[in-house]
Amino acid sequence: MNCDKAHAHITSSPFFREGYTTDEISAVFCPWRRMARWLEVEVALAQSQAARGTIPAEAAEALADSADLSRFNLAAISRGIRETNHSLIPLLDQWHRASEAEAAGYIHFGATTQDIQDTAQVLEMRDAFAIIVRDLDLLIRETARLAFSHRDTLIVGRTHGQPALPTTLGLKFAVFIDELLRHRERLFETVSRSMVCQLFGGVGNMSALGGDPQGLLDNFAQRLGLKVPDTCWHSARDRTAEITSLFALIGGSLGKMANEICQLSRDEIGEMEEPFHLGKIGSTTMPHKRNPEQCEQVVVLARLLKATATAGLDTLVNEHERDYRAVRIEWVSLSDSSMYLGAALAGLLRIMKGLIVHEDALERNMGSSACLVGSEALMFLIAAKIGKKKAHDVLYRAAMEARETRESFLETVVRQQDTAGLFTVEELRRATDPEKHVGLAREITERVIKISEKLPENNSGIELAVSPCPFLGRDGECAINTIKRKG
Amino acid sequence: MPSHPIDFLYQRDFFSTPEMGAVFAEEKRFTRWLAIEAALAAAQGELKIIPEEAAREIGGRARLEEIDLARVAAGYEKSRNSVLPLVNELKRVCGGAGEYVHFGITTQDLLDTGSILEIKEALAIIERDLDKLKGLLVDLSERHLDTPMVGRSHGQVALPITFGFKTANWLAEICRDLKRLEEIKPRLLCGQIGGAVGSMAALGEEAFQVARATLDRLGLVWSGAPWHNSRDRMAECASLMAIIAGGCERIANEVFELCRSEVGELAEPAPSGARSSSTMPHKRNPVLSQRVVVLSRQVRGLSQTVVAGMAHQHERDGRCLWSEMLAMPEIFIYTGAALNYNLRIIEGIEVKTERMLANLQENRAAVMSEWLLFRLAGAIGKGQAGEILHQAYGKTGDDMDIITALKEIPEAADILGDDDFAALAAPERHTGLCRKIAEGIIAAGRTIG
Repeated sequence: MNCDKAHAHITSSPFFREGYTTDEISAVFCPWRRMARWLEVEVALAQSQAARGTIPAEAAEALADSADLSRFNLAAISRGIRETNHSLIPLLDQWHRASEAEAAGYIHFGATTQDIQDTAQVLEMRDAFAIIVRDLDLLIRETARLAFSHRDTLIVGRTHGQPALPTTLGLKFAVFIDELLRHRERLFETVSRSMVCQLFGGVGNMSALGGDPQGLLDNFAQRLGLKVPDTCWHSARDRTAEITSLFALIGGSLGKMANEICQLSRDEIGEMEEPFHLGKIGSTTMPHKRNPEQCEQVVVLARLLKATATAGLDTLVNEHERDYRAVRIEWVSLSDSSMYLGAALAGLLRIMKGLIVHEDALERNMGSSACLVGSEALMFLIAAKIGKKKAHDVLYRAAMEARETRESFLETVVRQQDTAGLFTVEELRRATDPEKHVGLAREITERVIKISEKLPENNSGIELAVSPCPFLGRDGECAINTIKRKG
Repeated sequence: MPSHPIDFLYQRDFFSTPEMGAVFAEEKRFTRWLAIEAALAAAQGELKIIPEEAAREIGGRARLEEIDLARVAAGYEKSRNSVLPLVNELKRVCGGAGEYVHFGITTQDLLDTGSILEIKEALAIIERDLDKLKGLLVDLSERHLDTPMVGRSHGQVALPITFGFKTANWLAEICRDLKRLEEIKPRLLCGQIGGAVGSMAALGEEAFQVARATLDRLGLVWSGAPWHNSRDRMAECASLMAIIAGGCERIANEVFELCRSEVGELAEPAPSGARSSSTMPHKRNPVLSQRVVVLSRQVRGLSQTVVAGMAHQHERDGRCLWSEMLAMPEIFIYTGAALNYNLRIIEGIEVKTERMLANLQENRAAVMSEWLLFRLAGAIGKGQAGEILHQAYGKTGDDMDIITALKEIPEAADILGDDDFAALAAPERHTGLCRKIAEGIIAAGRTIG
């Protein structure tokens, strides 16, 4: 059967991948680049060994020249992996063939497979972090823009899905920002802890890494722009479990934001709407539909991120010095989490950029529940004359009564025994003016916006920049595709 | 009768510790809520928002001894609110000052601030025990800096290491967990004073001062923005507990594996007079380590529930909040119990150093393959060395050991001398940098915490 299953995962679907990843973050996890990174790490190892005098400098130079995946027999690598059941050796065999005999003897000198693959995976995740931090910053900025322009826009605040008190749309956005700012702090902490290289040999004791393994490790890490760990972490996967947990947390916040927009765009509420363009179709059978599908997709991704984080936590349990039953989970947990989070950030960023706020609906909804959401203000007004407990009782009775009789709440209030003759309906109406009862919403919003304007520098000690794809030609053509076409 | 294993009266504390359980006791929860009301009243009295006399009265009455718990219980039978029955009882005992109880805050302000106070106590226990575990691992690693054993990968024999190196690697993870705790605390330990929708509308113009002064009295910071619907702090805390419990699980699981009779390198501390099996008198089961594994798996599952709770709708959302209320106590109780068991395991662990050496010796041909490869590679290059060894290891079996096999291959026999064969017979001397790496971790472990 000659069937290409290369697009089976939804993140590779030619039709639907945009909902689950972005082309940019997918490119980080491209299988060819993964192999190229393994080579890049192997070359860094050889160069570090040459720098420390463990292997001849000419050998390292020759190996750097011959480590070019686009010149290897890719079909043979793929065949070799099936035959040997080893993930790295077939690639090294090709490199061997492409190298001078003398230099070839210094390939993968003293390292274990997992040294190479873990280090390369960290390089991969460094690219993913670069994209995620960049897009998180953009999202913070976009949300701050919305918070600023809506700092005085009134909205019904809701708790338990019911109208509660008036608040401002600005405060709603400010709370989003406050949450995103903490994620930024967490990201740098996680980057600082997790962007470490791995070079400790078969059981982590550096036994085959020559006379000065520590010097070698330092040189190797520096060459790759990574940190030096205190010890091997082949079987200590707390760093990667932390990454997937953090991505689930960020996803949780993005999902919450998207869900809020979803809820507020219900037809009965209608206060917000995700960007719409003519041509976007909601339903096959209900032509009127304008569904919040972009928001729904961000919620989907948040849930997938949560599920993937559980897989990520399963990597914590390793047996002995190395255990692939744990480590190989990461080939799914790290890449899937990164792609889902990348898509969620990009998706929400699009939504926030084009978010439609229906001020008329905001006003209408506030008007229809003004009395209810003004109950707290009323309580304080009435409490001043008859005490807080009595005031609460009166208002509770009146609210329940008005709900039954469907009469005006305020008129019911002034009729109550304890308040009779103390207030006029007009006085009460003025007190329930929502504008007067948004507390410190504006002050809190302004404070948060101000903080978001001066985002702290990346203090992780790791430079975050997306590395360019080595296979991408100036014509936009992928060198690997060209080889595959030629067979 | 208690129906949850955490509260069992006879099979006590299988999956909990009395200390951590007490943090989450219902009456302690009430005590904290009362303390928050007292702190709020004191702050508002100081700022002249409520009469100072009322603040004093509330401060004096906001103690569990003043409260009629039967009335509170009766209140909860009718009310669906999480705090009102208690708050109403406080109002009642405060008499006229009752008017100023719970002035301008919302139920969730009390719930969240109470949770954070609870978590602060629970975290202190976790941190103390992690620190103790760190100390025990420092000592254990130091004692076994030179205890050679088989290193394994994929569950198979790999290369020689030392037991101190293995435990130092556990230690390194514990140190990272301590760092994580240190980082999370300033983010997590802040109270909640936001009012019904977070706008602080009923707290007056001096709301910021009220919030700051109230939380200051409680030893918490004010976050500056409401977080009724921002549950990232709780989700981060739950995730971190899953990571810490997972680290405990790795240690316990390793102990379990090395306790297998066929491996026999470790034994859990002997139970005092108790029997492991009801039917097999020979058994000495690694019961403690199995409990740790189970506890960690629980925490892992529960942490998901808390992450799911981040999907808060609008300004406050009971559907999310209450799942957190169910999950967080168990998360801490199980993590605390897992840590406690690990302390007991590590404190009394029996290290069978002779068996470790015997296992290493038995596998000396295998564990020395890397050393041989590099020894031969130095003379004839890694490629050819690999081929020769492939040939030599192919010959080994019941009646031929690796030394004889190598002597029969001329290319190998030419290079290897008596010193080499002596080295091959002593794999315990080839533990690479185990000692140096372990010493580095131990030194680092001593400086933190």
